[in-house]
Amino acid sequence: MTAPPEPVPPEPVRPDEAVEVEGGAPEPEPEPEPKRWSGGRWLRAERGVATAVVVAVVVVAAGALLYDVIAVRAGGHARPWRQDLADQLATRHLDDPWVLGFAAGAVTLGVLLLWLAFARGLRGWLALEPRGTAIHRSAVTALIDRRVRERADVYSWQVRAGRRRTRVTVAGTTDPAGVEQELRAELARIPFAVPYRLDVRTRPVKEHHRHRRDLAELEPPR
Amino acid sequence: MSRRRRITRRAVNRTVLAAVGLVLLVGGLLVLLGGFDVYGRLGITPPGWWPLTSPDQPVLSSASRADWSSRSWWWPVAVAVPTVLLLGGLWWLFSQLRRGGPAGVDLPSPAAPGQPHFALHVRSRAVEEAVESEAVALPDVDRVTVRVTGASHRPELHTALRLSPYGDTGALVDAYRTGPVEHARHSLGLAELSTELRIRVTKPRKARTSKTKRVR
Repeated sequence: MTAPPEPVPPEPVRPDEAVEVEGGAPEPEPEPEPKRWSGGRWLRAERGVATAVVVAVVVVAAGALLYDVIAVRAGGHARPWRQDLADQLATRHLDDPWVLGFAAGAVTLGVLLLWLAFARGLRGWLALEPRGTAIHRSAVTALIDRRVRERADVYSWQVRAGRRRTRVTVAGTTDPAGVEQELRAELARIPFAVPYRLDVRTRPVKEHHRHRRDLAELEPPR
Repeated sequence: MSRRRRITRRAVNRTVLAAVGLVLLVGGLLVLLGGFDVYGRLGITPPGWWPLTSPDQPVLSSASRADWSSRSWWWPVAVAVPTVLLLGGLWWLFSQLRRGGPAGVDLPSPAAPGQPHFALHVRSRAVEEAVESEAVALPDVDRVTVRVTGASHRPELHTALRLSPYGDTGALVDAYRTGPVEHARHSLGLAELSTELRIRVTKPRKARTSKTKRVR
């Protein structure tokens, strides 16, 4: 600021300004870069535990079956469990309650495993830019919570960070727009990779029913 | 490219789950469709080879079992399928044992190719401590834990970071990329060092639900 002001060269007219001048009406500023839902595609759970359980069951079942098949081929007898299973399968009809029950269980388990295979998982984590960075939902809650806490006019508040939006409910504020603007600024500091919304709601202050001990302190009995 | 191994493990797990789930779903649905006589009620005549069509038939009759086991390909298949499943499952289980990262990171040798040289090797723990001590000095960072994963010639960094509630996440991510990670990449002589960063925030010390309690 101590240096003498240099002559500022005339700024070249940007194309969007030229359009604005020609059109007459100010156009809304375009979004800098529309975030897409595919931004967090890399953030997927490994599904290690579920696969370990499934693989363990498959290994045990396949091992027992292989042992038995080889024993039969070598001239031995099938194990009692396999004879029993074959008898049951040969005698029970399709409308038997046991058969239907097992089939329903298999369908349920199959749907569950398919859901595990295709769902994203890691529901606690939100993908950030650049790729490989993620923030926990509780961290978003804590950041927003800190911001609300510092406002003097908010009586009580509740912050819930979901997977697609954060819902903040504040009570007692006289300036809801100011609260929303401040929280929006706080959320804008987090570089989310996918669209993330902020809903600010206001509700009236709840009248607390005070304990009679507190009331007695306020107004001692005569 | 640099994430090939991790993606492979995740893809293998999800493929296993999808295959087993699909088998269970299709088998259960076939039995349920036959058991509740859905074909008869809807007036559908399934093709001749379609299994389990009538609620009065057994799940697996002795006749069809004898018919199957008399085919020439039956016994080789009956041995081969459990063998493949068993070996694949055992391979998966043993591959889980190699979960930890490499013991160290190989540095490129400063000598020209063909010349005698020392093999340079940095312990993973040293890399982790270097990155941790630099990252924890970033503004508003409370705690950092770094793990080196991947292979010794292609290391990756996994960082769990705890930010104070006053921190700026975007600035932190930029500073972490351009500071500790870039320095580690440069000093290890790597063209690319892929990192994963997981951010949590320290909870405020005592969560007050309302300000009236402080007043009182």
